[in-house]
Amino acid sequence: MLHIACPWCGLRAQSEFTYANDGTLIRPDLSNDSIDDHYNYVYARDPRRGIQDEMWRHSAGCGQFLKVRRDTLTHEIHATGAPQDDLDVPKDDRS
Amino acid sequence: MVDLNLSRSALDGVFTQGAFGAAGDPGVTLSERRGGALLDLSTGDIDATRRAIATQFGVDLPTKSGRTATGDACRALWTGPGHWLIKTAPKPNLERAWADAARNSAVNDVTHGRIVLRIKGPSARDILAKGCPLDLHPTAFPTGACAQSLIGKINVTIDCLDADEFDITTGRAYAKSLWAWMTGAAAEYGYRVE
Ligand SMILES: [Zn+2]
Repeated sequence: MLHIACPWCGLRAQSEFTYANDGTLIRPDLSNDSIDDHYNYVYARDPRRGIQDEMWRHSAGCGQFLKVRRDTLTHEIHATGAPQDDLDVPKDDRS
Repeated sequence: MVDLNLSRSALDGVFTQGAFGAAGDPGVTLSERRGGALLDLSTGDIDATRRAIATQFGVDLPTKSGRTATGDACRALWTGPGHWLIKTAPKPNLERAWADAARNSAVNDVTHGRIVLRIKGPSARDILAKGCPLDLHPTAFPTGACAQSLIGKINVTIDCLDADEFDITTGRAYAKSLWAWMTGAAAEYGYRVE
């Protein structure tokens, strides 16, 4: 069982959260007509053994999406933030 | 308009009053709270909505997770950023009155989609802790706190009314499941149904 710090609710049990997606995806612009770009956005993933950024949703809590930087090998969570937050910036320094 | 007769509770006929479980002083009293109205309020303009609701209904909508506020015959629970559950007295055109006050928000009357269970007594926290991942110690979850979480894997909103008194709101379709879980968890402490 992980404990995940929701940016709004604080530290909560993993059972209140739902894994959503890769946290680094950026949807191709709708004017982009490259099938490959859209295919890669929807299907192509690069699962890591180590630290990766993920999107989760506090589904049984505040309902918000959040970013989680998690080590898939040790399950250690290094940082969490709102979807727009840059996790490289320490939490207290974010605007 | 079609009368769907939704004023019938999902728990009608599910429980009977009396004492159950372990003998002796009951650890808790369980009851269903009926007759109140529930509104779901959400806004993209938190400041404007808070000002309007404070003026109109005398309640300062809380802006922090886990906070509640009480106003003129209503109580507001924080359920997300710019999102609240309002408990108030039912009256005609209630939804419309709140929507008119809070111009930049969405107001939905969810009264008939939810049920509210009250659990009260010295064993209340121990019983809830059996199926809820929240830290329910009185220092972490004091009187006036609220939270959305899970009880027995059922999505719930918990409102701490007093040191050993809680109102649990859940979806109507989960009423029987939550009741079954609650009575099972309370049996070892003994419980009264009112
Ligand atoms: Zn949350």
